[in-house]
Amino acid sequence: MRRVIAFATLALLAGCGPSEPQSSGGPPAIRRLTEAQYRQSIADIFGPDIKVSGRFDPDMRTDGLLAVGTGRVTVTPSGFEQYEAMARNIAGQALDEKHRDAAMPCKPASARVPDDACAAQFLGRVGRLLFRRPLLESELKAQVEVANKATQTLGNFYSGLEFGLAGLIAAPEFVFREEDPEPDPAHPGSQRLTAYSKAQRLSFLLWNTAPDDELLAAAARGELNDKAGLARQADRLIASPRLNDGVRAFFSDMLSFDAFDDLAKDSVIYPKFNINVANDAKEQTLRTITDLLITQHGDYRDLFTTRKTFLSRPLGLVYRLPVETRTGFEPHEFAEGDPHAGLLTEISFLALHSHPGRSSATLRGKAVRELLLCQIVPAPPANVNFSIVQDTNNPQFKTARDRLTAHRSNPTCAGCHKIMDPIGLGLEAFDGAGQFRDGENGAPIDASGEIDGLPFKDAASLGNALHDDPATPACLVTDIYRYASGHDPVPGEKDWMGYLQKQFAADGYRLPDLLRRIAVSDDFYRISPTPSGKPVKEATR
Amino acid sequence: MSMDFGRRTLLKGMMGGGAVMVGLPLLDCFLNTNGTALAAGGRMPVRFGTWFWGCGMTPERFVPHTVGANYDIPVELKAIEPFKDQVTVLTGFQALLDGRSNFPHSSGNIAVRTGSAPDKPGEVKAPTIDVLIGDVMGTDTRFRSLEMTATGDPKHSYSMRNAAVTNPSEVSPLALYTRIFGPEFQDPNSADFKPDPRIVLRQSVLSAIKDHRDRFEAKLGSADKARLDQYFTSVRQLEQQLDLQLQKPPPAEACSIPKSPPDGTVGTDIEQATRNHKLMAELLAMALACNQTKVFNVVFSDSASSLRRTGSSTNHHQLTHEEQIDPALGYQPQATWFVEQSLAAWGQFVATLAAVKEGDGTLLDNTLVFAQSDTQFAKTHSVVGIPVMIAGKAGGRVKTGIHIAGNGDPISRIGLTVQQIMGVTVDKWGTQSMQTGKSIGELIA
Amino acid sequence: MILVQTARSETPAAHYALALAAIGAGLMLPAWSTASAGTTKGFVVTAMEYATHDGGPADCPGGLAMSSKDYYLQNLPPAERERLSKGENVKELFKLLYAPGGNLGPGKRTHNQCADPTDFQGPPLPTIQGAVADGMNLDGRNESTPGDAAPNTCAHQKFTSPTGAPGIDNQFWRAMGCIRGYRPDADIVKYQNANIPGGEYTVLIELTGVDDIRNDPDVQVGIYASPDRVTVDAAQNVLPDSSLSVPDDPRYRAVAHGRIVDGVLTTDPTDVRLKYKSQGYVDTDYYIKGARLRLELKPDGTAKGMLGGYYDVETFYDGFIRQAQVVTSVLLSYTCPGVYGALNNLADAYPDAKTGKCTAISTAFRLEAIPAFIIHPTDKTKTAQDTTQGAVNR
Repeated sequence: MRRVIAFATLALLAGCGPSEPQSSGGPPAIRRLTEAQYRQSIADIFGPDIKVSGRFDPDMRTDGLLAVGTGRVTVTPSGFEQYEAMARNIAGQALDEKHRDAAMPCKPASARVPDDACAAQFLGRVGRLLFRRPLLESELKAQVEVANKATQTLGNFYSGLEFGLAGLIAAPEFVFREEDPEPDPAHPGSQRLTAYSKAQRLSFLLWNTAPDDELLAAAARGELNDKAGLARQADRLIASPRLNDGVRAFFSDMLSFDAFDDLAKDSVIYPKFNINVANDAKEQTLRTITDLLITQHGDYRDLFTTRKTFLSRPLGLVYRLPVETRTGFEPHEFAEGDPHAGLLTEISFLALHSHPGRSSATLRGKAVRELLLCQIVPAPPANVNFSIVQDTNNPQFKTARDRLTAHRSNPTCAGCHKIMDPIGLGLEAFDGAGQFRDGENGAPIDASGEIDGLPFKDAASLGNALHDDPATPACLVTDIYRYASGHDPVPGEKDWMGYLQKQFAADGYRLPDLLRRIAVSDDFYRISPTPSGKPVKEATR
Repeated sequence: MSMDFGRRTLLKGMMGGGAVMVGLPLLDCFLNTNGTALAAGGRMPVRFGTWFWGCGMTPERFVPHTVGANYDIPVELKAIEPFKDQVTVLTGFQALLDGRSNFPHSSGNIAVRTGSAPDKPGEVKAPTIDVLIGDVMGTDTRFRSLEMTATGDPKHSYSMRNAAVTNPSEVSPLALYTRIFGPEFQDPNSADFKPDPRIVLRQSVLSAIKDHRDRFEAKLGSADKARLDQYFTSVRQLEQQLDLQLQKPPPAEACSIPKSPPDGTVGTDIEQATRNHKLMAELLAMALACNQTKVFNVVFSDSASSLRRTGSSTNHHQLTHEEQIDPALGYQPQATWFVEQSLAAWGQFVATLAAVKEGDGTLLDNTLVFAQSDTQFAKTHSVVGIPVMIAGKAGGRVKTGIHIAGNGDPISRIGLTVQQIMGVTVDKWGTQSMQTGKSIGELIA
Repeated sequence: MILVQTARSETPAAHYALALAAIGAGLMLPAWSTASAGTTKGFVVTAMEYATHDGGPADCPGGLAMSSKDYYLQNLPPAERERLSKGENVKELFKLLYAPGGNLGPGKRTHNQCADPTDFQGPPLPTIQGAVADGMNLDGRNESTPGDAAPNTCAHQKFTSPTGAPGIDNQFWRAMGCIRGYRPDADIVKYQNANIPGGEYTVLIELTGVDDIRNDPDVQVGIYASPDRVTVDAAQNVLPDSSLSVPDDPRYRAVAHGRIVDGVLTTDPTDVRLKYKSQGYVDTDYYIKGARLRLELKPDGTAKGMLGGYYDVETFYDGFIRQAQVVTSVLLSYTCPGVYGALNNLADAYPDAKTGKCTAISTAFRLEAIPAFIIHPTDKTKTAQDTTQGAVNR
């Protein structure tokens, strides 16, 4: 009873602010599961001890997000070869002697001959979780036939059933997330996602995995087409610890953490930087984020100023700090006045946006603009001469600032560099591995700079500037929607974006509140009848 | 389907000056670019084997000074000079023990072959790579794999599923001959061919998946339709690969039954071992050419090499510890002599595979031989920079003729890459600090 | 406490004698509580090897020690010697050499010449004959005093250091220095140093109560065997600034009082117990009684110096000789009875109360160290949990 009242109040409150504009909706998407989504779905459906070993076709970053790229990529022949092999392997494990009792809703009449009824019961049940909707009758029938034939050939029910199951796991309906539109009875003439497609958007946004049994059941009952029912599911997902998975997946994408897979530093210049440091640096930032935004229910903008973080022993070497906890992480708070404050001064950001053997004010400035402010920096001309910037031994230009100033004196370079370098120079007190340094080549480091006319004196005040820049939270809102929908907002969605940005401010920049507003909004599930509108480029990317 | 991107763009992403492989596809590309494989219409088998020698090398006399193609040949590599283009040398990769003891001659060897260092002597926590590769490619031949040692001791084998299951080595050339070419020998050119029923079942799975196409066709816009078309084209391509596996393999042209070797003695005398190794290599080459096996493991000398010279009671291993480093030469002259003899045998082995003509190339071209030792410098049992060499092109999948410096990277990167090249679906391999998902891009053709 | 404070005002010789007397009387030095608040400096040892010295031909004029294999062969009738020297009979030779009981694994005990050295004949071990060797002056005497050993010591010959300092005590080097595997830069020294980056053992040094790193009359010095292993870079160099824990077992936490004079730290004697492990063959303690540290604290934050003291003979023999088995006596070239005899003959401190025979032998280690954070167990460490939620930390 209490719950219902609470929801009603919330709904009322939402109605008190500026009224929510009706969005045109964007195109429905068909997206390939990311590796993390594939792995998590398999673990959810068959159990965490099922091993998924295989190589995945590379993801493609599109307009800054892999999530947008998932709507563009396909499956290459070698990629499918892997999907097929993984499917057989997963099916084999799911139905081996250790797991079959837990997996099967029935026992076959005989373990040696086909039992279509039992096979259908199993395949129907698992198929619904894999396809994220009930199987069509024709689909189920086809897989039961495959299992039947295989059982006859091999003389073993479970070995035969493996083939039926492998067919589901390798099928495009599992590998891709399809979205199906249907007419929206509340708004004649416009379209919305079907309940099962809604369930997918909700689950992948909040948990980064396929809808669970309860969510699919709610979809089947039509509850996701009902405001209260939708809110109930959204609240359930947001209240779950698995929201951490969803938030980690989003920020991993937004912060380009996939680049960690290929991150390598020169082992002579940065002997402390190794694979453990790289892994832990990524983890440090994700923990900082989930702790502030979810556990503390904090202000998103504080990510750029917070002195609270988490350390492990490998990170302690690079930060030159003692770490008591032998394995794993412990909370740490940098002292007032310490050069470390906010996400920009964490190793993950500093090392990822540097060269293998030196820091890069340009790359860091570019990352701030593109990843955190959703602004586009044009690519450099093909014939650019970087010799001055790259020669760190030139006695004339000891610091990066000296070298970049010389480089920027070239008028063809100046235009772009002046929008990147002054930001990145604020982080020059940290080298290419993210280590704090007092100077470079014996010369002191001047870490002052400016961002869009706002001067700052060091990394901490750069963090403050980002905290106060309205583009910072606006970028997050746009990115979350792009991440959730898989497309850049079309013109008809612009007003709704503006509305969400205002509401985000009104909510005190609380991420779970923003996620809830998106998750329970009809606009999130609206589909434009003709996917004609060109994506809006303007302030986004 | 047409591939409009090069293999290189697909396989490699450049990062920090070193090539690292991105996620990535192998087989389809090879199929299309390698004249000896599928595209030519036949099924030229690709083989995998290991070749082992004990007690490492002398770093100053072994490690090439230049990296990349056309590397220089230090004195201990002299024997591979004639085959330089077909051998890749990997140095400077390390077995990371995570604080566990470096059990002499065991930790390094097991780490290289399993990606996991033992917690105690004799422990084998994961299958060796030849077993993992054999599970994938060794199932359709008469022998899943063949093991042999030139040392006369059947226990000298490093092909293990676990510590309790070691594939024992044949020790006598005559016994090896009888096992392969004795009464049970199946002539590949006359034998009946029975297709694997599982291949047919996999095809029925693919056929059912293809039936989903109509539902997508009906509802998708053109861009998404093209993407799904590509998916279904990929399904079709796998079907065609499976079709080929249902056909009788092409005749083994190079197969001829060798004559029986003499019934000689076996033992650790290095001359005896060298003789037996040569006989075994020749028998093995024919066993491969006659499609009797696709996987093999050859031990020239055991880990902690027990090879010795006639009349001396001090064997190679003892010399590595007991012999002083000659201040004038800068190395241990007698121990080093054994290293040179071992590597001469390696040169001999490569030459034997290269001498068998197969299609437009040689047996070596269709083989990947993974040669390795148990230590770097044996005197101190160093596991940093255990030498590894890769000979043969595995049907065009491997880049040979280069020297790759590991710069202290986990040595499991080599095992991971080799498995991927041989078609094992593995994205990460090894444990603790040796767990790696980074294959060595330079090694992939 | 009073004892040592008095000692500090006395002459060095008296100081040594009193300190030794204190140890001999079974008194443990207390954890030093008088050191002022000050700052803490932590170090991890990156190299720790016996203080060897290459004295040229003067060291071992009679040649190096014979290996157990050569000794065994030498004592056979000529025909049998020739037969067993042949390669094909090498297995038989080793079987005989290890007999009875064969060559068992680490920790296994059997009746053989290394396990039970006093039951077997061996040639006397050749020992260092030269007058120059490295080490520290442990008993306070500047020259050998055969008829008048310092309290709690046994009479012995002194060395002069390579830089000319008199009164060096290093009977361990005298005993072991003519063994091929113990010579400078030979096997043992190589293993000692390689086993630190290899993670087999970790030694920490902690200075607390430091008010002035160049000159401070009163600091507390901890010497610990850490259960954590060091972090190394790709070239196997130990990295600075790592967090390393002190051990739970108090036996492996030694604490001494020390002082810094012109950047050089010296400590009063204390018993030190450190772990030493090597390649699965050796798992033992460096058990050094009356140990003292001399450490040069360099401006770049690193430190270099020496740890000297009296190695408990039985602990050394058991760890390095008995555990390491007969095979090692062949590889490093010695005979176990010879080593056992020499160590006991040359032992120069801690006389047995009943027999009067010394049970420990003067020795010294050269050390190098770099900065590290030394972690003492707190409630936080004990309860800290890895609370990763679905984190993929690979």
